Amino acid sequence: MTRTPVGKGLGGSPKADGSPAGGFRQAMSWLHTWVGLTLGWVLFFIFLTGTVGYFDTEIDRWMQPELPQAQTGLNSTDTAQVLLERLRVEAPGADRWFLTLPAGRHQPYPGIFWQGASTKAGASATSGELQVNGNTGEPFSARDTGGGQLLYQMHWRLHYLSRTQADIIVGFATMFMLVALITGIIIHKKIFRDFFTFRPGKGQRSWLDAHNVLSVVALPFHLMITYSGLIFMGFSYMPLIVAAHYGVDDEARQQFISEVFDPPGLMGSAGESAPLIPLDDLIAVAEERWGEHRIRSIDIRHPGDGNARIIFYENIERRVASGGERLIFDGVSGELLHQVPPATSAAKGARDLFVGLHEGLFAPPVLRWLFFFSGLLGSGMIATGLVLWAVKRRQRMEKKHSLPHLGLRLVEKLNVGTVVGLPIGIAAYFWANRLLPVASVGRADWEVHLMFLAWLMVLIHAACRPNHRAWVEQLAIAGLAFGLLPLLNLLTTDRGLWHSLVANDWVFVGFDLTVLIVGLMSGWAAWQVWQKRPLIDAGGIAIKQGRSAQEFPGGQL
Amino acid sequence: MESMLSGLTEWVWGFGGMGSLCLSMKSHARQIGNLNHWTEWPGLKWLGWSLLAFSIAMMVGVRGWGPGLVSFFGMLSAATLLVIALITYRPRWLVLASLACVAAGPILTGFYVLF
Repeated sequence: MTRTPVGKGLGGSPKADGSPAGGFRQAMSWLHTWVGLTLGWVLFFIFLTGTVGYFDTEIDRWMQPELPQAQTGLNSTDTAQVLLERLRVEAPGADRWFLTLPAGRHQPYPGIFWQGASTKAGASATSGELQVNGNTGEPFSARDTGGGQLLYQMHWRLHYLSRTQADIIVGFATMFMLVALITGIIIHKKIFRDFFTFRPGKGQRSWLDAHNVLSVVALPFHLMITYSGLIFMGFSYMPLIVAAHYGVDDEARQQFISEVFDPPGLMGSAGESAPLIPLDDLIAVAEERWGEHRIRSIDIRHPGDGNARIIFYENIERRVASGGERLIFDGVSGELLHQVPPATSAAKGARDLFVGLHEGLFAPPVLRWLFFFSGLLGSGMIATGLVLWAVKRRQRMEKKHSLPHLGLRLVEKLNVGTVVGLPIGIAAYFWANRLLPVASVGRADWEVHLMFLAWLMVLIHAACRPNHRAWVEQLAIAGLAFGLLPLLNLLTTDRGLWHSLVANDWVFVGFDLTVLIVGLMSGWAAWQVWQKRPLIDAGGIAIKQGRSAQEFPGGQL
Repeated sequence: MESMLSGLTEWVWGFGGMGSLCLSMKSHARQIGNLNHWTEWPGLKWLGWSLLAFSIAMMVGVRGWGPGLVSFFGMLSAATLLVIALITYRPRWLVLASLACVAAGPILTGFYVLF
């Protein structure tokens, strides 16, 4: 077995019998390196888009500047009445009416959603979804966009892939991540002694320090987010457990899902009509129990039928675990049939806790920022790990005065094209949102296409340019792309930064300032990397500058 | 406003704790030059752990177990990263900032309890 020639924390002195000391640790080190590298770029994508997703609703709102400020705090009874009337117009004869109340950050506007409506009876579509102005009852009209929701869904749907393909890739990536975290803890010898240690300006050592610091500082978050990511998809990754109890066909699976997640006591349509009870009294019962403005949504099954059921969902901001209480009423008599607690079993409670921690929907603003920040640390951990892999090999190669092999060059290109390229793609998504004509057909799709096209172009750019140049140029592009977004917003909408500040519109202020800071930091990073021009360029030709590469942390980029 | 005050107080305890723990380590005490007599006190390590314990107690006390623990770890990550940045680039500021936090912690807690 060859020893891995690295610095701190790896390997050890040989034992008397000649076997390498820390053989276990070396095996773990090998596993850490290759598990981390293989799907590292996918993991970076998952981490970064997931991190951005902690502000999904805020991004939604920035991407639909036509919408007014949030309508939270409207009277529940009046809003429900307005929504119900809108449903009677849009969706007569539906199997299901769903009313979303403006209960808080996740649901800033009232909305409706329906299924199985009868177009013969005058429905606008069999199923549909609308955001409704709670004051006027008219649907909002805003530009078509995937918004923050699409950006956040990418982190497990991988956008262009089918559900099955994405599940498989994300499943392997998450498992690899968990293995990388655990092996990382094992091979980090001085996890406490080096807890606060960062030694800048020392090449490979600095990258290892940075990787360690980013990993250790937010380790509880990294472990939580990875493990809960696996729990999330447990039914997909371990289908045999469900199959053993329910059977293997789709119907059996559906029965399982319905038993775990559906409210109890739902019935099929009776086929005879009966008037739907007015919601006022039911809302009073729910608000009495949960408090004012704490009804998240009202779900009406078979409205106008003898077997109608009305389900009230409690808002979710008070508990870490996902989900709230549900109340199920008879839709004709108004009798309260069931009060369903958030978790119906200990196992579901444990699952809900992990899901809730992962999604962070409960988090108030400061904690939401900390979730976002921890996610950035995780993305940084993956990025520094990937860079470290390349830096280590380039340093070794330079010692031997050999040319970089194809694998190393590929990793270096993918590193810059992903670590900086993906953020550039995300910026392109925001630019597309403001620049594509509001009325153009398929604009929502094109926003995403432009995001991935921009990323593709950046990857091609990375492939064509010397490595160090690629970092500098792409960081500069990222700086401009993010830094100029507030200006673009000012020019294309009437909700520029100053206006938002005066109007106390903290969602817009927050977005504009955040992208501005990201832009400034990218620009600063570009400047830093530019100043630390490398001893050796990507082609392996020495540039005489009279400096040692060891002195410059960015020198190996 | 109240939650801002409790958040700030918890953060001050957490930063003071992490700062003290960092300065109590010999390798880092060397980084602060002639201020290092501040860190020779053997109780510094225990002070650091107690401040962290206080921070976590306040988090859980104010927010309950679930949100309290989540907030504690989030806050601690941010505080630790700042400690690392300071000890690396402005080591003497870390001494001052930690002292300020140790002093401000009880005062802010007093405010929080009283008002």
